[in-house]
Amino acid sequence: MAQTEDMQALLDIRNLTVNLLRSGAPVDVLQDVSFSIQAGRVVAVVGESGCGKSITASSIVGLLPPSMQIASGQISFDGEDLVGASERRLRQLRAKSMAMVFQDPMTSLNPLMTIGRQLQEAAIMAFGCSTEKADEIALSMLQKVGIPDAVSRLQEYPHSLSGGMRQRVMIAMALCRKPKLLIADEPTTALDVTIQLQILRLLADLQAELSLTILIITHNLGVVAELADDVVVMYAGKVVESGGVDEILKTPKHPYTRALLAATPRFAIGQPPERIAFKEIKGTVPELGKRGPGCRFEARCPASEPGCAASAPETVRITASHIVACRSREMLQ
Amino acid sequence: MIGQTHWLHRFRRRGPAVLAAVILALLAIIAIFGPAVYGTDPWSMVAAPFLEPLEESEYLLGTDALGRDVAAGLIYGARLSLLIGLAASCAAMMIGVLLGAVAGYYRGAADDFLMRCTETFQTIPSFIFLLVLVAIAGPSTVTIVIAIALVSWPPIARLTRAEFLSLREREYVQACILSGMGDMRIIFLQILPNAITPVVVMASILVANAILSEAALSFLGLGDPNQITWGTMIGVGRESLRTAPYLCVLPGIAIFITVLAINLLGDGINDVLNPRSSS
Amino acid sequence: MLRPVITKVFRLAITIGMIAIINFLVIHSTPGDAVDVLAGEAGVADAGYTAELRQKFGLDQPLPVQLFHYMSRLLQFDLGYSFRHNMPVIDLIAGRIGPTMLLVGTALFGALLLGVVAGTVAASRQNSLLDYTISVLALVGYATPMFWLGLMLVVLLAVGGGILPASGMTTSGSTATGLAYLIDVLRHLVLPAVTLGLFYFATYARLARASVLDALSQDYIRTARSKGLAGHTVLFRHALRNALLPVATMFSLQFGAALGGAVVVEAVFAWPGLGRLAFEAISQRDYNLLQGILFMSSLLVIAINLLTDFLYTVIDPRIRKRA
Repeated sequence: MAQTEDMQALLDIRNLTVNLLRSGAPVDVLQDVSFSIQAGRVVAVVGESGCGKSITASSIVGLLPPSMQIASGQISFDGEDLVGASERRLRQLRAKSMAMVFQDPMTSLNPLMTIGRQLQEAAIMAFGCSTEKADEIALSMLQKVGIPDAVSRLQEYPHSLSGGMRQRVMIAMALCRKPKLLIADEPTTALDVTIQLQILRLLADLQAELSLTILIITHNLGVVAELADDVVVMYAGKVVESGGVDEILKTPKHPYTRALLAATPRFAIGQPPERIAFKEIKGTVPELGKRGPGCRFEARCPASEPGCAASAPETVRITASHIVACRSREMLQ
Repeated sequence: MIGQTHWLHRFRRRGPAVLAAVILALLAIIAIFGPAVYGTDPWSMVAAPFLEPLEESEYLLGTDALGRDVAAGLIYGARLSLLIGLAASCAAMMIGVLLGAVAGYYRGAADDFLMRCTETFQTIPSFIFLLVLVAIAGPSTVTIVIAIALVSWPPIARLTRAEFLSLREREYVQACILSGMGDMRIIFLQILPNAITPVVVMASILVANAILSEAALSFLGLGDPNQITWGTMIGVGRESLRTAPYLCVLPGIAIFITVLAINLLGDGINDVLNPRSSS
Repeated sequence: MLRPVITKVFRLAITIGMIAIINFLVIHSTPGDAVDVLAGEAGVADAGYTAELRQKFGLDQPLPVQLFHYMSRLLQFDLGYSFRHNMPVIDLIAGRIGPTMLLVGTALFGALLLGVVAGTVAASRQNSLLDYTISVLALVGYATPMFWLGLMLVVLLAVGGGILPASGMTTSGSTATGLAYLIDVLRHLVLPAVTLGLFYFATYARLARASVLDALSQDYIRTARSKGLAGHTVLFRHALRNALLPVATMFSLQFGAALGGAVVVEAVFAWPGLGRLAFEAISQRDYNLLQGILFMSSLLVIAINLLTDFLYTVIDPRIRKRA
């Protein structure tokens, strides 16, 4: 499992800043986001809705909405710079090397096209193969993701499948191009709890079998515990803490990460008494355009100090992998 | 800074609607006070026939084949066209709201029957139906208003029904039903006030359709023979289309501006009421 | 599997029956009946003669009986007799339905095609000058009275030297056949079709723009993009088909309105169709003919609705499953 440090990362994001263009001054939705993914590992990006998790994913695959733009920073994928890449090259990479699974399987498949056709399309885009070969790939992928009676399913339209089945189709569609990187954007959020677990197990099994590299975006720490090797915690467009899954879940340093864990019942139970004793995180994420120069969690932070609102905290490296952005020495001990 | 861009952005989106509202207000003033202020009788032959617009300062918009003042005709026409448009869509709204409310509130057999009726009325080509109704009842302002209402209520009924179907499931309505409040009181005092806004918006756009329908009727010679409307003026002007095209052009522009303004205002109100639907 | 079809047919029968009843009631609310018209025509006021005629046409029977007779005649496609034209109404209609369908069909399909293209282009270049132009054009098309547009086209083309004929369906006195005849008809068709079509073009362009934009914002479009498909493939293969569904509904809903529009347009351009026949029937107080036209045009609308329903089941698998 453990990866050697000197190995080059498959995906490396450095100081990524993304702006929302509006009439007037642009506002940043992502600021100085940095993290990397080693091949074969599962990295989870966690945070509340609106913290920039999905924007990060969209930036990687080059599918930011027209109102947003990468202002600065680098994204390098397999040694190639993506920020300066042409639209054509990005399309090629999406077709062959990077695949996505989205949140809501009920709306993510085209209702007027058969499952087979949609899978076939992905395979053709990836390999430029014949339709027959593409159908073959589609069928084997459907079987691989555990869809019973796959042959007849190919002829069916999305509306005749359940949510869990559709998410399996989405996963099959993503995997049929043998991607180097799979980005799963809240892949279980829209599903029933029992189905959620099935899909997580499926992802875990496929990851182990195919040694996939996965970037999973979630707000669910259960998913993190289940799947992730590394965790990136984001808040209001910035990375506040990142590290190995044990480091983040067992020895969280940032007040926000701690709050997030405390807000998750499963992790709140049996916490040591000196742990900050609140379950919900008071207040809300500061609005776009109303974010000051200081730490963005300052207004909600139980450990905020006088200097927190004035300037952004330095990033502190606690171990080789564990990084946190907080000025509170008390917290970091 | 943000406030400023906001204001500009909003004006760009609301600008047309605001302009339309101003135009409609002007038209309303012309329709109400114009005939009294302007004074000239649109029927009397006041000058030489076929005076072109701007040819004589007293009759700025010219005269028609009988030497009648075009400007006077347009002013009287504004009154009648707007009146017919408003009256017809009010009447259509009353029919539609009543039937839609009953269908949506009582559901079941009443709903089935009324919806079949609505469907039937929507199937019959409405302008041909309108022609037949007016031809048979004899053209007069009242019959035209009623006939236009009779062919244009179905969309209102459908919308009202949909609103009632959803509103009647709300807790506050259920509470009224349980407390034994009378059906009429629930329909008119409890549900209708909450359902009426989108219905009124739709009805206001019906005014535009009604004005167009009336104009087409008058053009075909099925207008009230005792009244001057824009449609009549175009119909009469058609006789001298090649020699004096302004007789058709001017009233046509009047209709165009009125209908455009109503549509723009309707779009604007729709935007405000459900911002999601606008793009 | 069969149940929905039966329900559908049953509903259809009810709708047709209701249309017939409305027709019957409207006609019977006319002051005087066919006999009065006939007698007035012939200048005969003899009470015995009119009573005899009434008995002959069944007009002395109670209303429900007359309704029954009326309905049973309708079932045999007997729409009554036009005393003005001295012909059965159905024959008159049959002679005029072709030109009207040609006019309405050309206008609607032309408007559909151009409207969908314009709306799609506008949607894919949202907020561009082109988008703005198309939106303005659509608003103008919405607000222009159809008959007035026709007159203005006549005036403009008269100024332009009469490039296109503005009256009738063929050049009068022309004995052209074959291709020459076809070209003659097409030349005559241009102005009426444009006049009738502009409003529908405006409707389809607006609707197509909105529904393409709506389709483009759907999650499955993001999925398609994430597969690396090119922009135009996403637009044409994934978005447009979904966007066409509401347009098809609108097309079906507007066919009846277009028949109504044809009355005015045919009056402006002397196009020898159903609309002009209706216009003549009004001025000649030929109520039998008028109600026959109303009934037949309603049936046409029903037929078009059925066709659209069928088309829908071809495009949309979700409906196919239910039906």
